[in-house]
Amino acid sequence: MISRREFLKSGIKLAIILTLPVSSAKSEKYVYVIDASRCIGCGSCVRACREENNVPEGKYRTWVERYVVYMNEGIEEVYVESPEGGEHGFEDLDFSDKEVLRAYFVPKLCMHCEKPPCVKVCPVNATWLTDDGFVLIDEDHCIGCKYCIQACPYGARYFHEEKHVVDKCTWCYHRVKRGMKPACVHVCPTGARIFGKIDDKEIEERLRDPTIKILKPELNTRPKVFYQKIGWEVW
Amino acid sequence: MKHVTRALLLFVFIVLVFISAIFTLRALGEEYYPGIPDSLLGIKGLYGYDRNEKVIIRNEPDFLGKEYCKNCHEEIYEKSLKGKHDFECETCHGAGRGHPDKDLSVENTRDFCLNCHKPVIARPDFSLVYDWETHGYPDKPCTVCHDPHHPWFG
Repeated sequence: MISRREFLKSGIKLAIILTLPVSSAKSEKYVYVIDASRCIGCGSCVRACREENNVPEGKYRTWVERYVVYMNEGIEEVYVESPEGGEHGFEDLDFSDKEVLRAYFVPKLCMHCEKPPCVKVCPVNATWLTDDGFVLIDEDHCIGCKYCIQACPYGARYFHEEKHVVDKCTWCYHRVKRGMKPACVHVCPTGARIFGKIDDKEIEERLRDPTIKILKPELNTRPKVFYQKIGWEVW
Repeated sequence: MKHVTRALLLFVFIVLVFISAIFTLRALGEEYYPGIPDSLLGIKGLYGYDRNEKVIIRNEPDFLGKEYCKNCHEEIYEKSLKGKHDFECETCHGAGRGHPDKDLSVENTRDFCLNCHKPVIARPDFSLVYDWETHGYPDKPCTVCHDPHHPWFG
């Protein structure tokens, strides 16, 4: 017959053994880092995304914005534009009579938040967060109610008219799981877009940069797209 | 005892019918079988239980990478690695999937090069090393002097 002391001892041992593998699990989360100072606004990423994911005309899974901050009668003003999502490049602008403080391109895409508001509002659970940090959509279950389009603070989702479902960037989940990089990262000629696991060496170094930013941190959505070298005005 | 065995046998029989029905439905294909019993059985697969797999399987990669191009165009591959244009071939040429049948040649115009090399506001300086309005303008395509796979001379 097992004594009370023995029983308690073995019970505690068992509990420790059961919790150990959970606490020592390695992080498999993916993150996306954008170095705005290297983006030249050529639009290769937007065109590649359209080709890779069959994005319909006039809709964008990723797009490029141009921010120009200039002085207007002593006041700092911001000019933002994204002609056709930056797909066909950018034309020159005439700011010759004004003092331009800074100007840069900002590629935008789905932030794959750790606390995604779009997942919360879906009435049929057609969108979900995977274990490795991707927010995906099941097009068989989506009923096209568009609640998630309204919930997304980053404007990353769009309505696919032909399929009658909501669609968005998947960080090219099908490519990443086959050991490739997302199409936009793959084609970027200057290396402005970097993608990898959160403990990759290059990613880790960039995340240590004190100027690294996320968009709309006040919403506590915990986005996993990080920006380097952007100003306060990016929104 | 006899009653118990009879009841047990009946239960086993019902389970067998249930499982065989599921396997028959699976064989019919995805459109006849929405996949609810899969989650009951705990099977991971195409049929609705593991939705991540579905996203992967439904989409095939179009952009294949430099190493795929190297199989036939090794000369250009080696040349491009030496120059500034050492990024992916598909950045300019488009997706490589189905290539020998699909034409991947690129426009030989100034506008195509200027998409990256035109000095516009907000563009960082490293792509602007010349005065684009007078440099070879207006009749010459850039490729008369510059090899697009190795743009800097020598």
